[in-house]
Amino acid sequence: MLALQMNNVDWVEAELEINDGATTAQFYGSSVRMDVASVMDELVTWATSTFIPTFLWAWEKDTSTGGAILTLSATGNFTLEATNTDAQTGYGLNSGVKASASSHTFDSAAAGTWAPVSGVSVKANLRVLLSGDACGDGAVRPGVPGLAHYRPTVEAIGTALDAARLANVLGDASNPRRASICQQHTASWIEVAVGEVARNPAGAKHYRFRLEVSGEAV
Amino acid sequence: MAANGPRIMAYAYSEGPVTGVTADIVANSTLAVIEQSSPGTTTYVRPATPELFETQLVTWQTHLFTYTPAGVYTCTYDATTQRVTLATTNGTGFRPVMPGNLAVWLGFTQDLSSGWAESWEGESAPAAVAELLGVTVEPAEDAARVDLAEHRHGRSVATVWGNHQVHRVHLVFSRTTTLAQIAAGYLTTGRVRIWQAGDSTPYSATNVDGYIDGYVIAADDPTEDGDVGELWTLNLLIGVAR
Repeated sequence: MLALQMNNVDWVEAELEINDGATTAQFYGSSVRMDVASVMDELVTWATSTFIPTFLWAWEKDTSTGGAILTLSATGNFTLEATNTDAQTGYGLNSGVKASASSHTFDSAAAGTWAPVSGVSVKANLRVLLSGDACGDGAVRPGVPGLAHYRPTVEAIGTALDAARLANVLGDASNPRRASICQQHTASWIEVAVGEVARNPAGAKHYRFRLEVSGEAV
Repeated sequence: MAANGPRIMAYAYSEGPVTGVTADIVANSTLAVIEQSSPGTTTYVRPATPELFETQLVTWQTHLFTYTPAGVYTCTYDATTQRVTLATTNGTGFRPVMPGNLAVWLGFTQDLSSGWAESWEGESAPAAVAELLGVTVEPAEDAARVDLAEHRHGRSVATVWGNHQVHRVHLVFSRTTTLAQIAAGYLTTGRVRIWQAGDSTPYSATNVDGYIDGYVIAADDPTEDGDVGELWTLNLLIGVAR
């Protein structure tokens, strides 16, 4: 799954209210522009320290939109409410309180998410060197100013729906374009700047996507 | 070709006024009629804003009813015969007048200089619309221009400009569409709407078989396909604002 930072959601404004039966508290993102994966990481950390249960989040492909639907679960029951438009759009939640349960699957694809049928392939997430004053052949030197960023290869195969979803979310992406990509085999998220997106036919009904990305994005 | 099959239809530019001989641009926006009972009066009608061909027909029909001396009009396009018919429903004889390029736009390429009738059918297919044998509409592509060549202190920046998306379209015209119809240019320039099939709702990220409504950014030359030139095919690049 790829989660883009979007223009149409202000995460500082987005209010998510949780009640675990003992405490009611509201969560807000730490900055205006965030990708939803980073928001969920913050939410889980905050909720686990604020309430009695321990929280977890997960995602699954939404087959009707090509985006990703989020799930928030905990070791105890809790209610959940997205109280304003930013939260409803951002998380993909309808208005109203969700009845107390230990796991809540959200109602629609979260803002800026893209989950093509093949998953997103991230290869060679390694540092590369540009030419410059501090450049050297051979060993890569992390941390040298102006040099040694990550330059992974990001590819995916998707359907026409995935193609349409990607164009749609890119249209509302924030500037500069930043995203988090789930690297499933390491169960980690890499944060990248997203450049050109190329698309080619892959068989009769599928498309191959190649994303130009660069790591350690600001 | 059925009316709900694949088709491409052009928009006509217009900026009013809705009646009167004077308008800034009358290329294909203005229809005029002379009624038999008032042969000295020519009534001009046009939409106030740019409109899709089939919407333009309805607008003309409404304005003709309002501004002509006597007639109650219908302006229709038949997708099966691919002809436009202008008629009155109250027995008023009239003669259409085609200012600007309207004769080609509507397919009224016959001599209209004399005679009266209650119904007039174009002798040619209108250049504003083509019924298609098939069409391939690729999903939208984001057309933003992105610069990834900025690295600040080892950090990557993707700056982006752009505000539209594009569709790559491959049109296969039916045998009844002539090269002259395509070469007239209304289907290969300006704003057009392309229906992929029977879905009469717009294309979106969750409705990928809907119609697309955009501006022609680029068009290839028409290509003659088949052993004996049965079909014309054409590639278009359609830009859609967002």
